[in-house]
This record gives sequence, C-alpha cells and structure tokens, in this order.
Amino acid sequence: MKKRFIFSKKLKTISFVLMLIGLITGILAYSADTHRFWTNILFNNYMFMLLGLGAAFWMALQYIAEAGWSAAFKRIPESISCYLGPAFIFMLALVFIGLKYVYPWAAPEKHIEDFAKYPEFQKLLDIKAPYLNSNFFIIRTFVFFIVWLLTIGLLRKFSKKEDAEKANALKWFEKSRFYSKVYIFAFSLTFIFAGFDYLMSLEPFWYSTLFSIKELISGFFHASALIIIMVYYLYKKGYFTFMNSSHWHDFSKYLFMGSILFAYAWYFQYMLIWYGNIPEEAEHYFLRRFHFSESLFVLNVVINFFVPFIILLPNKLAKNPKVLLAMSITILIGFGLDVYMSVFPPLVHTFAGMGEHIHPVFGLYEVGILLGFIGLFMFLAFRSLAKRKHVIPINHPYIEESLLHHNAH
Amino acid sequence: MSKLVAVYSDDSKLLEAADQLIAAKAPVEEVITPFVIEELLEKFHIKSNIPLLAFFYGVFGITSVFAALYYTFVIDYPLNIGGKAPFSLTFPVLMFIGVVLITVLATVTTFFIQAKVYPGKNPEFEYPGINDDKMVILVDKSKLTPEMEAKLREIFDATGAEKIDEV
Repeated sequence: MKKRFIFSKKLKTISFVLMLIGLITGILAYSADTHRFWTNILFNNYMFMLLGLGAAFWMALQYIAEAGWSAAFKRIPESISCYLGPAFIFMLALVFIGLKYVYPWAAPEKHIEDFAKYPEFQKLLDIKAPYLNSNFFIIRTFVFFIVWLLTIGLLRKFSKKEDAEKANALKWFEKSRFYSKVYIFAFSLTFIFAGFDYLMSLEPFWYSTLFSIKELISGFFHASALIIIMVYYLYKKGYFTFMNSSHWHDFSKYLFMGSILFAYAWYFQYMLIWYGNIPEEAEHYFLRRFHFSESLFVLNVVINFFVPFIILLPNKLAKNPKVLLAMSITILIGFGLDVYMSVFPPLVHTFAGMGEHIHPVFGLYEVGILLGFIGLFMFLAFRSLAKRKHVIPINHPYIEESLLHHNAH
Repeated sequence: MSKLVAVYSDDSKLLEAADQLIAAKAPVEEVITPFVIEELLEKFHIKSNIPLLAFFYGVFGITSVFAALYYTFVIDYPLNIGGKAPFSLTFPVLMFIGVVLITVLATVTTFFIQAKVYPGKNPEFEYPGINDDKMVILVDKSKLTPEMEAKLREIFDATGAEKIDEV
C-alpha cells in the first residue's frame, strides 16, 4: 500500500495548462465583455465554493455520526475544501470591482430606462436598501468567509495534530467532533444569508425563503459526487487497495439519498411558488422556464434526480465503481446546469425587456473560464493531498473499522 | 419433538458458533435473535425476495394512485380550484404519500404470508429470555446422531454458550 500521495508531473502540467486556458479566455472575455466576465467569475467561483463547503459538511457529518467506514477517506473532503481560500480572493475581487457589473441593485444608474418604465422598482430597491447595499454586502462577505475558513481550518488543524501525536489521537478526534458541530451550525446559519446574497440578489425584486436551503442541500449532494470521483481516481492509482463493494455501496447511498433530497428541495420551492401564483414570486420561474429555456429547466431535474435514482436503485449497479463514476460525473454536470440556471438568466435579461424571449449564453468564454477554474481546483486539491504524509489517516480511532469495513448485503 | 437449544447473549459469539455449525453441517432449524444480524443471513445463504417485491408494489402503487387522481380530478369531476389546471403539480405530493402507504401495507402483508404469521397466532416456540436480550440456536434433535449431538454440544461449549438446554 502506497503511503503518500504523489502529485505527478503529468497532473501538474494538465492543471497548469487548464489554468493558462482559463487565464487567456478570462483576459479576452474581460476586454470583450466585462459584464459577461464577472458573470462567469461568479458562476464558477460560487460553484467550487459550494463544493468545498459541501465537502466539509460531508466530513463534519462523518465526525458527528461517528461513522467508521469513511475514516480512510477523510483526506479527500479535506483537500476539496482547500478551494475556500482562493474562493475568498475571487469573491473579494467580485465584491470590490465587479459588483456593479453583476448585481442590478448595486448599479441603479445602469437601469435608468427600466426605472422610467417601471417606477415602482426604485421604490422596492429603496425599501431593501438597508440590507442590500454595497458596504453591508462587503462586511457580510468578510463575515461569511472568516467563519467558514476558521471552522474548516480548525478541523484541518486537528486532523494534522491527530497524525502527529499518536498518544493524543483520541483527544483530537473528540475535539474534531465538537468543532464539526460548530461548523455545521455556523455554516447553516451563515450560508442561508450567503445564498440570499450571492445568487438571490441577482433578482433583487424576487425572494424565496427556501432558496438557500435548496442550495445547501445541492452543495452536500454534489460534493459527495465529487468525493466519489476523487476516491475513484485514487483507487485506480492504487492508494485505496483495501476498498471493497461495501465501501462503494456506502458512497452510492450518499448519491441516492442526495438525489432524493435535491428533488424534494427543488420541488417544494417550485410547487409552493406555482401554487401561490403571486406574480412577484412566479417571475423567477417564468423567466427560466418560458423565456430562457424550457428544455434546460426540465433537464436539471432529470439529470439530478431521475437518472441517479433509477440507475442506483438496483443493488448490483449501486456497488459497481464504474457506474458510480459515471453517475457522479453526470450529477456534477447537473450541478453546473443548476447553478447556470440560477446565475445566467437574470443577467442576460433586462427589466425593461420583460416578457421577451432570451437565449441561453454558452460560448468559448464560458468553457474556457470553467476549464481554468477546474485546473485551479485540481491543483489546490491535489497539492493539499500531497502535503500530507499519509493518504490514509494513521491515528484515526476508527481507521481499522474503515479498512475492514464489510456490509452483509 | 425435542430440540437442542443453545442460548447466547453476545452476537459475535453467536456468529462464531454459526461458522462452526456450518462447517460441521449441523441441521440448524432456526436462530432467534432480538435484532437483525445480517451476517447470519449471509452465512446461511438466506435470500429474501421482499426488496424486489417491494419495488413492484411501489410501481403498482404509484400508477394506481396516479390513475385514481387522474380519474377523479380530470375525467370525472374537473373542479376549478383557484384557476389551476385540473391535471396539476399537486399530484406528486399525493402520489408520494399514496405510494408509501400502499408499499408498506403490501410488503408487511407479504412478510406475514411468507413467515406464516398473523396477529393473534399462538407462538410456535417459547423459551425464557427470547423476547428479551437472549439469542438462541435451535437444532432438531430427531435428525441428530448421538456422535453429532456430542459434537454440537462441544461447539456450543467452546464458543461460550450461556446455557445448553433441551426442550
């Protein structure tokens, strides 16, 4: 069994090439269409930030449930959540420079035509101004990221201490358990507002109290898909030689459960707004479904719910690593689509042009910048994995149980 | 009919005994435990068709609930509720609740039929402690030769049975 993860030169080159592609397309996009550039930054940064937070949530869940089987895979969510540092930097850039390009409430002067046509919009913005103003927005960004980085950083610190001190391993484990509770509490509380800020305020006249819950569930669900992809990669490279069908089955349970939870969250928001039938609320879905793209709107639920639900239902398929890998990739594409459907429609639509049909924007800029972020994410995750002395934690109290894990079915 | 009864209170010891009994090809009649021990099912190669049946009950349930809703809301009595279309998004909620109800009732009924039990049935086998925390292994004595019986008693003793009894 290999002990330390080796960040191979090939992998490094791939991630650097991807980052270079992202940088070049980013510069091109910035000079051609600043508005679209910042939209892409928000789209990609939000996506990977949510994956990092979701992965940390996954890890915290293993701690507080005292799950034995997952002890050997602890490094993977830890390395995924490493993206949060750069996410802070990108978010700060967005907040300080790009705010006016992305959020309509931050640049009322750009929407003078709209306000002339619909004067009540200005009134609504004035009412929301005590919460939605750029100064408070900046303060909130700092608060969110400081809370997340602090709690996740503590969990990582304890994990490192646990590796270093064999005699005190149990003490650090207990501390990790306690701070997992702190993280889950702090994360749920702050993320509700983060979801309202970063995505919901793209449409400042629309609000739904269920919105952030759906995003939180989506983060947890899609992060478990990303964890499976990374576990599969390390398994193929020969780091996890102990893995058997029970481990894969337990991973697939997360995908299966997550898909149901996601569909539930998607449906409760949609159904309630449809049933309430209040024009201010229905506008959100009306824009996406009838003016943007009905096929993409339906595809979102199909990819994120029906496909994983039906394919992971038979016991044999749920234990097959290749099926799980294919499902995880499909689900991550579904995640991209879900965030895309949140971010892009309000940005290509103007208030004055309400009721007009708009076309989905997806071109070279989007692909290039996405590849760049994937490269950056790969580099950070694998570098953090390579920094640790052991891919499999050595002093974790449940490590034996994880290595010998076996389910009867 | 007399039975050889071995009483355990630790599931790991029970599993150890099960391994040795299988190796000795003992005619084990029944194992009664206070909770499900899945390893035991695997060791004795007991496979249940209930999960598959439950899936089909689910398919049947979801289609029948949908058909019932469609008949009542769309065909028979299309009522205008708040301007909503009669064939509407509220269906999934009722379909979900209906499918859970039908699947659970049908699965429990299937289990009762397969295990040949029904409410109010007299117990087939009684022994102090089996409704509590004791686990017992039952072996049919009429199928045992004297040498085999001695061997089984040895196995029970070696694996730490609390008590070896005859009923």
